[in-house]
Amino acid sequence: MLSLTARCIEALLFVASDPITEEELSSVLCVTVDDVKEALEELVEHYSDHHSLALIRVCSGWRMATEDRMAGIISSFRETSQKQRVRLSKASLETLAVVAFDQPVTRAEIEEIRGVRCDRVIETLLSHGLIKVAGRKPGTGTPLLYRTTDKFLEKFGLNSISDLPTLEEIREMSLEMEERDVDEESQT
Amino acid sequence: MAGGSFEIRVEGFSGPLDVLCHLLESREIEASSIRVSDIIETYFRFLTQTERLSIYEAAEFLSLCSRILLGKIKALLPGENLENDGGEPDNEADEEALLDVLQRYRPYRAAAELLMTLQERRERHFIRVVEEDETAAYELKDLYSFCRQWWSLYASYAGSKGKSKIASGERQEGFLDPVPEEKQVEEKIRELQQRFYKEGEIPLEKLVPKRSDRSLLVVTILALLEMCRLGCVSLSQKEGFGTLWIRSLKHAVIDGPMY
Repeated sequence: MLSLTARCIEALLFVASDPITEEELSSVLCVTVDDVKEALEELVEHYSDHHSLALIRVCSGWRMATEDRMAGIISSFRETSQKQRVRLSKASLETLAVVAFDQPVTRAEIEEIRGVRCDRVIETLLSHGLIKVAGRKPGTGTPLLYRTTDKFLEKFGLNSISDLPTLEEIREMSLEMEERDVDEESQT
Repeated sequence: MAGGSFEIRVEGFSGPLDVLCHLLESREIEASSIRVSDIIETYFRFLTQTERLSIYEAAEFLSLCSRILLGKIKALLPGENLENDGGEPDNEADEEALLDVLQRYRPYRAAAELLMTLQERRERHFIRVVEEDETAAYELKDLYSFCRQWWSLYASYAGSKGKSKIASGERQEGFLDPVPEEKQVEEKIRELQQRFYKEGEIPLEKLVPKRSDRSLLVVTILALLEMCRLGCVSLSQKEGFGTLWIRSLKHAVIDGPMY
């Protein structure tokens, strides 16, 4: 049996169209943040058994979503799956990676790293709301600076930008993977 | 690689550096023997094989070729050649620069793959579909977003009114005429004079219909004030907040510019 706080949170998450923060839940329910955390743990545990729904933590908040094991069945259900997907090309993802790791960053800086023009890709990312203009860089030409948005966190299932590993960690991971591949090849 | 005999079958490259990484990782070329012409050739082959080469991609490709060509030409200049000890004039410098670029680029390429994995993982969770919030919003100082939203609002407005109206250059409500304001006032005065000549006394509401746009209202008021100044009309109001009547004092037609 769920506690009253957990039941209230369940109802709020059901109707919310955006992630709800623990502070917001605390304010609405007039309970402490610790109480909210406790109730959320209770709910997460409740949904982990015999349920096709799950509580996921994105963009500094919580939201109710379907469990990943249901992905197959939902994908084949009408247009539901298509509406929630943002199709991004490899070039877009690469540009997004540069913005995410180097933000705030100018277009010229992105182009310098990627070795190709990025104006069209940036336009696409802006129209999807995954990046935003975050001011201008002082200096010659005062170019626009770009940052990732909350929608970016939401679409990539991140609670905050600090959830991403550092570039150094990624570099190490990719080196390890390469070494592993080389070892496997030499063994075969 | 030297014989140019390898074949690449990939689903897509994000750019020439991506091609280079792919070639190095698949050990089809060695980092120490990178030839810029091979990269260009490979990327060009990929672009032509995609069968949907956009003008932007073609432009990117030409831009890349031009940059490399410029580098080659610079290397052929006498001053540049002095530093080389014969053989290939610029290969070493090119390779070093390219390897530096590649070293900086590779973590981002790996990061893009990580983002793809994260996105795939996230997309296995579905949420209830709600209507997108259409409320226009932009952050302070973000003029770029403001302009985008303004134009999208204008586009939807134009769409609801019919594109033909805009294409034909017909006047849009709420948008000022390209005609100078004083010209519009002059024309309005002439129009009003004709009306006063026929009707004598007219209430203000009749001159300014409720559904008229702001620019029309401004021009009408300016025209009436000018007519008052010239002594062509008199204004009267019988009771406070009552109807404002405008009466013609003389029927002289004003010719020529009044300013």
